[in-house]
Amino acid sequence: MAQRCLPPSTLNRVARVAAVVWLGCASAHAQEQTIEVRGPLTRQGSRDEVAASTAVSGEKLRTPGATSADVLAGIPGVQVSRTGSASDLSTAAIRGATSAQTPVYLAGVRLNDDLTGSADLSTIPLSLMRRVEVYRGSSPLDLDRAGIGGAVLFEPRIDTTTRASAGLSLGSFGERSGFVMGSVAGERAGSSLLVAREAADNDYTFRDSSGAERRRSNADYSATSLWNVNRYRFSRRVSVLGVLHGYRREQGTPGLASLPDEAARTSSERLLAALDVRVACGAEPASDSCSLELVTSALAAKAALTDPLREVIPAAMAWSNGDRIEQSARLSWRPFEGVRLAPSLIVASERIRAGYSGQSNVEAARVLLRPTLAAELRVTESTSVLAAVAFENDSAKSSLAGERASRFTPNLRLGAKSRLNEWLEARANVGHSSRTPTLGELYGISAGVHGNAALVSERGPTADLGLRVQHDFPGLRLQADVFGFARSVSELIAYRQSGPATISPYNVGRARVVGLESALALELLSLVALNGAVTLLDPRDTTAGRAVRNDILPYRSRFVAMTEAELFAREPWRPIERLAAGARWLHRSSKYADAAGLLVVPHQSILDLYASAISRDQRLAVRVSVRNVLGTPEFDAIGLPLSGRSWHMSLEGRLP
Amino acid sequence: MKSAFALSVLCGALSACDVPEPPAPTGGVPGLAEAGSGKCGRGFSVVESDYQSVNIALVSIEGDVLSESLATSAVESGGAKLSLSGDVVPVSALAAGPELPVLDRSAADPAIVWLSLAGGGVARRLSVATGFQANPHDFVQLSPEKAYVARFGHNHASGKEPFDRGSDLLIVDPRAGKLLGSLDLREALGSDAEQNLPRPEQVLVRDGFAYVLLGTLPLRSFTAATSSRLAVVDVTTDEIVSTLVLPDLRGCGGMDVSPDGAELAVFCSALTDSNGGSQAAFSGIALVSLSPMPKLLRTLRSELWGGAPIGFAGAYAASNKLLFTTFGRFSATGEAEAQDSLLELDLQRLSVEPLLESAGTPFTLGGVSCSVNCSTCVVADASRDGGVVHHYELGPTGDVASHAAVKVETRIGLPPRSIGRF
Repeated sequence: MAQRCLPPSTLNRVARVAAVVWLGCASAHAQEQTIEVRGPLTRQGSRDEVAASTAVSGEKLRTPGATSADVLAGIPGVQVSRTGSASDLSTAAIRGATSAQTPVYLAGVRLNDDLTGSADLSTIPLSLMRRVEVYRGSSPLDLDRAGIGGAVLFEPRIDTTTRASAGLSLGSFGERSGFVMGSVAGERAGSSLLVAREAADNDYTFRDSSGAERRRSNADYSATSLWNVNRYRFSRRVSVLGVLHGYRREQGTPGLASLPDEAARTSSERLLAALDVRVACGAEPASDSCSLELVTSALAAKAALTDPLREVIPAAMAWSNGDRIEQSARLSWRPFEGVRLAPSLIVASERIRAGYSGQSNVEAARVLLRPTLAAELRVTESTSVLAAVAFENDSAKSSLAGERASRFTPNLRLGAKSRLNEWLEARANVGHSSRTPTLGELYGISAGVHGNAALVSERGPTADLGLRVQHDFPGLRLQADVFGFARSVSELIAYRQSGPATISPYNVGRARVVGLESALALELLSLVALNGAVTLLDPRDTTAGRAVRNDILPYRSRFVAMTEAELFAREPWRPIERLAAGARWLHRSSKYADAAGLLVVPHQSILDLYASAISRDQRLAVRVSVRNVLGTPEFDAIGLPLSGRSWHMSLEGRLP
Repeated sequence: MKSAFALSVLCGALSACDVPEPPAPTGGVPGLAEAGSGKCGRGFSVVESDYQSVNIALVSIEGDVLSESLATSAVESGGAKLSLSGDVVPVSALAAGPELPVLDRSAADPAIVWLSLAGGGVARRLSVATGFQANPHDFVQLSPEKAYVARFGHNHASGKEPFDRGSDLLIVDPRAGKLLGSLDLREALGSDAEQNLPRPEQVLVRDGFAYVLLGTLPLRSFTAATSSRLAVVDVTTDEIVSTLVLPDLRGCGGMDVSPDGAELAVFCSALTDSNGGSQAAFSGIALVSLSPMPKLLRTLRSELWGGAPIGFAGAYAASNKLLFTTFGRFSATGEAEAQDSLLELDLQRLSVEPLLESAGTPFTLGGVSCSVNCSTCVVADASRDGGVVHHYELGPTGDVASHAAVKVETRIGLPPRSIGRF
């Protein structure tokens, strides 16, 4: 559709890179697509055609100063929670779920730790990402967890042609970063290496509890990232993709606005490696009638907090190490025309060690076995149905509490997609998903936060129904979708006092969430692009015997709206391929910060401005942005103000 | 005009999905400020909390609800702080005058907060942070211009601002809102000061002396390894004049003075771990005479009531009766293995009568407070019927004459945790 609307000359001026480093992606390896700048106005996830999904790529990920959390905040159904600057903890949750119920994947490897269950978005530098996909309500079947809220997937930025590129950026509060990337590509093999360094002082000012203006201290950070992707095609039937990623960050721990920490520092490290072997097993190697995919991945993550003044914890140091090794095998087989069967098996071994110096440590491990059987049936030319059943068998043990009996949790999924006419498509999904308790919940995190080995998985049904419209009128391109959803979850894990100075988790809660999500994209006269996203949410605590009168779940805005307007010109003059300037406005309604509904985080509206100029063939790109132009006080968590107005710029070049 | 109207409509539409405003506090009780304390006091303050936010209610001596919501937590200063955090406790002394002081023990902004009894809400606050997590455990007013704050927290990097060592008695001027000085309590530990911190828990003033209960905990842990003690401070000179070691009693966390003022009961949990485990041999109640220097009269060990560790709360119900709680216990898998208990101990006969158990969930029986002169005690219960306050009327010998469960607040629903007096 997009290409049909474009003049042929435009096709030659588009971005060309679609690095398929995605592990387990059905379209991996061989397909080095050319991405059309004027492709769909909004993209959908590539791993699941039936689920409600949104994908973000290209220029939308290149706005200087924008973080992974910022991009997710503008996607329907997603709510983010930040605790300070770009290097401080930030989490995402989908459709009113918790961040622990929302798995976040980087290059196909789940980042959620097994202590708290959350993934820290601040460890995913947006400028190094190529694509972000958000699946709402239902998760792609090849992922290792069926998140109750859905799933967020980040794909790293890698070239698959022979090329060298570099970039640097500067911004307020001492922000500076740079990267170099080089890649070589041949017919059968390719390799790409990206090294990035970023740092900031993050010494923005804020109003403290007395109303006085204070400057944030001990908030600096520096981080180094490395990405290496190698691919090799052994034959027409066998290809291999290897990914190696390292990330290291050292940062101050600034503490609360009213009681800053002076000397506490945190370091985090992540090492990720994955090997994806894909074998075409059909009669014709090039066909997709049969393929077997074997993915081996390993993730090791470390975090350490040094606290010489005991400002944060009652010890000189707290540390946590987690590692996971995972092996998956997935067969995709089309026994008949219009039918695809996809049995898969995932085996994962996970281990955590955590503790405070001088105190007892938590050491625990788990083995996860997840067989899945999925089937897709193309009922008619325009209608397809998907069905899947997965069983999670989880066994865990700790050095202190011993082994607990393995738990067996089924996950179900049924979905349908139907193209009603040329411009209208309907999707529906029902399912039952779960969240396995983290090892931290099972065996404790610290002397004060104990575990409970008897916990069962949080679980519940979900359903959604959506319509998607896409049409090109003369001078106007339109794309819109709307999804209504409802889900409930039981056996929610909450913490209660279990000793004079301890808390421990137990299964108690129930919740139900209904909502509406909508996205709209318009392009007028090839000059103006408008994007909008709205989320309406009614998140309720339905726990039996609940004492507090308020039943609105905390930390969830009931209304989130994002509007973005961009003026752009393609080839305004010869050296320039694209010139653009735009504004983005994000409104989040107020939300509670406590179960009783006494603490209200007020509604917040943030306006950002940005502009970019990209030279012919994208040899050079200059981008500038001003975030929170109006300097609106912004915070997601009480006592942890976000920065006010800030400016950012970036410069990127590449050869050839 | 049109644009203003459009803007108004937009703002209205955007605000429509905001969460409902929380219930406003019901306010204070006009007349309470002027009312004298009399022989009974004016009533009990009830702190309801889920450790995220709090509501403070007032109950009369007779058990009638005076104010469902004198003050509540609220977000202030553009999100930089809370009016009251989720970790608020009453002070141990009976509050006189028009304001009710409470302790906000939040790490972010530890403070003494005065609530207006007549008008409700926060009247004023005095930060006692001095640059660290001070964790105030008690406040006692000596005069309009002088008060002591027992700061449990210890600053491992002191010396950056005045009075920032911690584990001390902070001397403040509550009227002017000024910090005046700090009394280092380590002197009371003697040779134990090398390995321990005083960790003051409670202060009780009697006849010109302040009796400071020192939990006495190791430098780097919260498991007591040595005996707790009572430091006696001359309130005119702010000097420690005497110390009484409570032999073989550890982790003492609360005390109450007898109706005649001649005796103290000190409650010692001797907790070994944060899960409620207790060193039974070091757990018990010390009875201490005040003459005025303290002298240990006798020690009552936990075997007397079955070995359960003593809770943090206890009070004299009569001259010969003590009311106190013991901690229950959860199993490792979260089942309740033992309930909290409210016990009445007859000090003459050394007999124990159970009055109440937690309603299925341990660690939900909270504060205990008595107005001995009016033969009334109240106990906070966080789990029964969504949280109630038990109101006991006592007979002449301190035996329970009647009992009522009082629902002190119905609009918010936070569970009662601790009790103060005013």
